[in-house]
Amino acid sequence: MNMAVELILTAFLGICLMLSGSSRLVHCVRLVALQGILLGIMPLVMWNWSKAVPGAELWGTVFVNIIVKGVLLPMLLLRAMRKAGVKRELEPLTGYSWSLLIVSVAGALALWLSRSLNIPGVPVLAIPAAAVTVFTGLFIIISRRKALTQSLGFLAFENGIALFGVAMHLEYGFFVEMGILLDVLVLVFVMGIAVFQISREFEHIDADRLNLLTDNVEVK
Amino acid sequence: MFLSAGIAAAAGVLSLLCCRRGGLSGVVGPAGTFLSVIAGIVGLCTSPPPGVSLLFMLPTLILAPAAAVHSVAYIKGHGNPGVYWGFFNLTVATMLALPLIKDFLEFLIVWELMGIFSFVLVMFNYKAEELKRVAWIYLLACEAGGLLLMLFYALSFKTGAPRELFYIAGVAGFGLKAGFPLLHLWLPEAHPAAPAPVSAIMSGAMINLGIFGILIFVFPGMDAKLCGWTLLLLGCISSLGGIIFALAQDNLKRLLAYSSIENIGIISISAGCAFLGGAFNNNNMIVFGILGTVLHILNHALLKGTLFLGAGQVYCSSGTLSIDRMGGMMKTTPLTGSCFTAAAAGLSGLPPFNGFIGELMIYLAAFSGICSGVWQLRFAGIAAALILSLTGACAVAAFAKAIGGTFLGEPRKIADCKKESAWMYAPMLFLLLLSLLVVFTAPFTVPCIFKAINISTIDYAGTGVQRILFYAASFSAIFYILSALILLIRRFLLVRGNENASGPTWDCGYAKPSARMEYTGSALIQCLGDLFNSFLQIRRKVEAPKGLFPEKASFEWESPDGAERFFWAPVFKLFAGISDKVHKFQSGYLHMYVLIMTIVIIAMVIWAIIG
Repeated sequence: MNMAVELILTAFLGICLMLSGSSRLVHCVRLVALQGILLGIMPLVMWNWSKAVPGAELWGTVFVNIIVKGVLLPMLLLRAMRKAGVKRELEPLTGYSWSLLIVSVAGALALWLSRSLNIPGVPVLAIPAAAVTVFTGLFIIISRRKALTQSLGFLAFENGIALFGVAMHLEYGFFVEMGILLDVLVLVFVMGIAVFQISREFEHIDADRLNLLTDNVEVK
Repeated sequence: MFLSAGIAAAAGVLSLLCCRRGGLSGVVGPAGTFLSVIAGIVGLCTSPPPGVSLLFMLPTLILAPAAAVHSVAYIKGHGNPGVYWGFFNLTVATMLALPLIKDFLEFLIVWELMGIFSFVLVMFNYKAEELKRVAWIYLLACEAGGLLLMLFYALSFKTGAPRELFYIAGVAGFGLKAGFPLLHLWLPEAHPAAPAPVSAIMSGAMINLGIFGILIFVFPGMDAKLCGWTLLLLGCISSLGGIIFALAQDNLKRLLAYSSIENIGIISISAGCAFLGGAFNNNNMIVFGILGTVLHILNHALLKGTLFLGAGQVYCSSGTLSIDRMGGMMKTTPLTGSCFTAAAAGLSGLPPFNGFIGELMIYLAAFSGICSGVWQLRFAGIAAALILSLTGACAVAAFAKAIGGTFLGEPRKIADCKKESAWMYAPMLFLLLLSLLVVFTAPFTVPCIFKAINISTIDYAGTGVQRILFYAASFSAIFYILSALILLIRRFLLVRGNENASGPTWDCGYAKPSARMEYTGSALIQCLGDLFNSFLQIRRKVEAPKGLFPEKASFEWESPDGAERFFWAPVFKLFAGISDKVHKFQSGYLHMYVLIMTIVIIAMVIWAIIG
């Protein structure tokens, strides 16, 4: 199989580890942007160039994907960060060394489980890389306090799912891809606004303190 | 035909729109009901719908105008008339439309609308504290029925789905509205709380629609034997259970609600006999079963309508519904009392009234089953006849209690009873007149009924059913003429010279009788209550008189619903316990929720890969 594909998938695994281990938000945003760009070029790398040149539809998808996931969304997040005045995730619910350990264990588990799923035509590393990316996204949502980090986690999660699709050669066509992208875009947009509003209202964006909207808490 | 439902709906929306102006909606509302009923009757005459739809539309068409007239007087001072008329007309519209709808999805939507509109009517008097609980129960019952029907609908698409589940979901979903045993929970709660005209419509026409749904949507394609036995079994339980619980009730409308459960039971016994007759090719049983169903649905609508309207009048003049507190209402509301008595006698199946001919048909169906020689039919016939006669006897006792406690004797704990209003007794008289009409037209409508039902294999002429109905009608006619004669003679004799004095009731022999000495309704049926106590489990609270000069003594008894106490309460308690435990997971922390989801996803992935 293509060496480049293996390289990109390994990069995905590395990004996951770095995401779970870094506290600087700018750094995390850049990592997610890199993920987006790598994801965007994946279909081109996986293309069988010896047979034909990819059509305009594929080029369009790749281009828009890279622009939205690699440029637009990170810019939105960085802007929300500046407005809310947050730079670091200071007190994560799970410490950084523990986070690294958990994501590594998950990666090992994913590699071990994927041994039995030998699908012809799919790179060996693709399924574990996608699974680990999904897991890392969810893990970040669970273990971090800041609403901004959680939207980053959501983006990573989404990238993981998209990676599954690309690796399995699932082609939905241009419009479905655009629809999914639009969903993500709107979600991050809303989250950015919400983060700004929350920080203005409460002077913090800690999601673990926003737990009053439940039936269990009795209104005093 | 849909036009009439449309007019009713339009009138409902219109009255809702002008709910700010009570007077205007008070005119628009009843006018809309009448217009829609007229349109409905015209529609029936010009392009009659298939027999079964027609049968289930008739109760609504008859009861709606009667209840509308009654409402005019009833809702005075009871809240916003605009809201009342709006939802009254919308409910009538949905009830008129339902029997005409062929597609199940549309049916389901209108069905749900009917539940919600009638829910607003039930909680029309929303300021009463007790009503919140009752309205909640009613809404839950409606929605649970709707959910079961959705399951039923979904299962009808799945090819490999078990037929039993499909069948049970359908019968239970419609049975919740019809008030089948164990599912009847909302009836004795909602009827006492709802305004009387609404109870009349709901009891006389709406619960029949549950039976309609079962007949139209669940039974086609099913084994006729299974359908017959289901209906027969459910009918037997609900008729006997319903009337025994009716016996022990103190609230007049609650008693009537239990009697509705009983009557739905009788209707299903009759339909069950017809289905069993069809399964075993017994022509007599089919003919008598179908006629019994048709006649009893009509009779129940007419008579139960009258009874509920009477209860509404009683409530308006005395301010209470407790039978043990009332008494002597015959003096203040003589026409209501007479109508109530006549309707009660009819509903108990006593001979000269219309209830009798319906039950006669069901008895004949049961007897033709017994005579058939097939052991299954023999068994069904014996069960039906036994249960029917027991039910009939208990119904007489229950209504004797209701009439005796409410209308006879001296007033016990009610002061300054208001006089009856013509708006209220006129519809009752109208309904009674119609029920007389049923008795005398029954022999002639038999061919029409079978023509409308349109099953060519049924031979109704060979059973001599018309002759039997004709005999019953002539017997009734002779009875009416004789009693009219007797009344005339009595009047004639009384007027001639004899002094006509009136004194207090129960004045015979006592020096100074008081109302406390007379039998209350509960006292009247105490022996029956004791007899059925193993079934009723009556709660008693006795404070016996002590010493030579006892100062205080009291006695209370109440009989809460058996299914609620011994089946639903433990079930709901169990679910509440489980929900409380699950509720701890709702911590409010986003992290927690995502963690739970992640664990579930990982577990599913591992399960999928390994398993």
